[in-house]
Amino acid sequence: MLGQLQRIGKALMLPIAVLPIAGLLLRLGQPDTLNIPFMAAAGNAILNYLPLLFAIGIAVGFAKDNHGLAGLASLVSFEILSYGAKAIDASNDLSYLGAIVTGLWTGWLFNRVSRREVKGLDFMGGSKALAVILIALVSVVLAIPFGYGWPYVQDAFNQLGVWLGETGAIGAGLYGLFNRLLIPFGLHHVINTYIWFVYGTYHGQHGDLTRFLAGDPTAGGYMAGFFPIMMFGLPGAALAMILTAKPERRKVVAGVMGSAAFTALLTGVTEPIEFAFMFLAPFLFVLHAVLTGVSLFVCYLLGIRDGFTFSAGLIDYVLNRNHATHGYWLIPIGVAFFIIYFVTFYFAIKIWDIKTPGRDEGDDGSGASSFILDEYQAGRPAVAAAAAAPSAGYRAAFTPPNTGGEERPRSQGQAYVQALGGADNILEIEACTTRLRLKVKEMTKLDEAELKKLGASGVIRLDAHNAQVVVGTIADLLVDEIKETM
Amino acid sequence: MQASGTLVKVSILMGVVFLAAAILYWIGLPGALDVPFLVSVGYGVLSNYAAILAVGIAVALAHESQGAAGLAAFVAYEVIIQGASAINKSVSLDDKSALLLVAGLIAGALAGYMYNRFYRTKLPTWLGFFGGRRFVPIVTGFAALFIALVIGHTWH
Repeated sequence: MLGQLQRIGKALMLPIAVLPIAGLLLRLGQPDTLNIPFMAAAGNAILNYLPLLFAIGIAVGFAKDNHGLAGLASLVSFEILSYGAKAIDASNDLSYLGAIVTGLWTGWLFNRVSRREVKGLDFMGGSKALAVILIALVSVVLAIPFGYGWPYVQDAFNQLGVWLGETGAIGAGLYGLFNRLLIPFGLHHVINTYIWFVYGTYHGQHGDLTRFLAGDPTAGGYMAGFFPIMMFGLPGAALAMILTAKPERRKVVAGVMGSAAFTALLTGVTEPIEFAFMFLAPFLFVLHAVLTGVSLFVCYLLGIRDGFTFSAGLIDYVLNRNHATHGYWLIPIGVAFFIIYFVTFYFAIKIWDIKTPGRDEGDDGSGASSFILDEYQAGRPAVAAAAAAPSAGYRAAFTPPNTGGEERPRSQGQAYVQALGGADNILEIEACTTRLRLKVKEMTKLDEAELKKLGASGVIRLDAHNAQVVVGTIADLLVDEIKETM
Repeated sequence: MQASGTLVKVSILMGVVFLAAAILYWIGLPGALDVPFLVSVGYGVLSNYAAILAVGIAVALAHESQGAAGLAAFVAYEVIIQGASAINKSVSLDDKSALLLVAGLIAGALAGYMYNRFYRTKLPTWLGFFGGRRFVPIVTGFAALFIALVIGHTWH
């Protein structure tokens, strides 16, 4: 059950990757920035077709090995369902909700059919082609119940939206709380998707995030409160971890935590900081979730409305500055949260002697081996590390295709396969933002110590077969390497 | 070549899907069974044929038929047609316009190429989330912007 929910959470991730391009084009093209109308039109187009991108992306995310034909099938299916449903009742608008449902069932059916052996269809791609055609035909039939049932679904979600609207700031605060509490399970995407893409309507756009981008002045209440946390609060926690590290380790910790804080401030990606204390001190993580809830509550109550296309970092803050309501208030509120986070984390770590990075007794002194922060070391392969000039770190390194992997004597991928109990032990492996999502034969074969040596910052065992290994933002590329060696 | 073989297979598959949609459309017409529902369903697929082509071509060209290429193709397709029509008011986005076909083919080929070129891109740590496959829709979107610029100024 949890495994299935996790798959859904992961599948919701992929379409989110196209939001930044929509946001960048839209905002950079608008009169207050670069004023290039055709660029804004292009960004707007992506925004208008986001439900279609959701249908494609979710099916792909759900499909085994992220096979692209699942996306093709889902696109065809979504067209059939929306036109069919509209023919039955002109007021039917499948939108995001319909796209998510379509992406999920088509991805599921695609997996079911494509793993079978089918003879005689090789000329168009075998069982995967059969899956696409089958999905299209099933969609024609499904369009009938969709057409008759959708008005009730729409009503139910409208009711939910009205109810949420009535809870006002309290609802926003609770959303902030659960958004963080669900992070360890990777399920926060599920509630995010409802709030950002389904909740509320404005000129045909649904969801707090899309309505905000479309210029709805009331939208942004469920996003504004994240800015103080991600740009200020968590960097405050990072500073506390730097100052509480052992003096001889402080420089290394400052390098890792400094870059994590910079990431959070600039882009709003906060997992590198959060994972540094999530498992060591669950109490601090709960406190962090409560503070996030408080921030959303306060910002909503003060009438601050601001939004993002990716996450609440400086980039989105600057891009959206002219569309926010009272957006500048987020800065002083943020400073307050910086102080709150810094003080609570500093004293909590001191008082309860929490073993945050650089405070571990068992340090062998060689630096980055026993404490871990994801990408800092995992970002460079163990063997190639010597060759990689650290100063080149902030420039994008374009790896030409077909050259990676082969030359290295023992690649990072091989090392990970070994630590995960060998290729036989790995039944399924996929990447999600900063984690490897695994299905293994025997959980006991997972070598946690070895994984941490390789740069993983945490191992989450969900049940007898499902586990996650937190490796940092390199997760995607690492899974590719692992799959190549298997 | 493996890629061209896949492209042929996916093209046949898309042909079958379009044919099925056309049959539904025809048998739904007033002259035949007169079922507006079927006309609508068929039209849903046929009127968006160019977007479907773009996704199919990109997936066929992409390394291991990865779906992120299809996502990028759809983004590129929308950027090209909407960008071009914003520059040049005489560009029609009617579903019979040849522009859609051209945009679909270009978007598909572009996204497939860009996927293979950039899916391993490593970005600096603080942008690490957008590295790898997630970099593909972004870089493809910007490339499509230039194509929109060219088409917008040259299309008649």
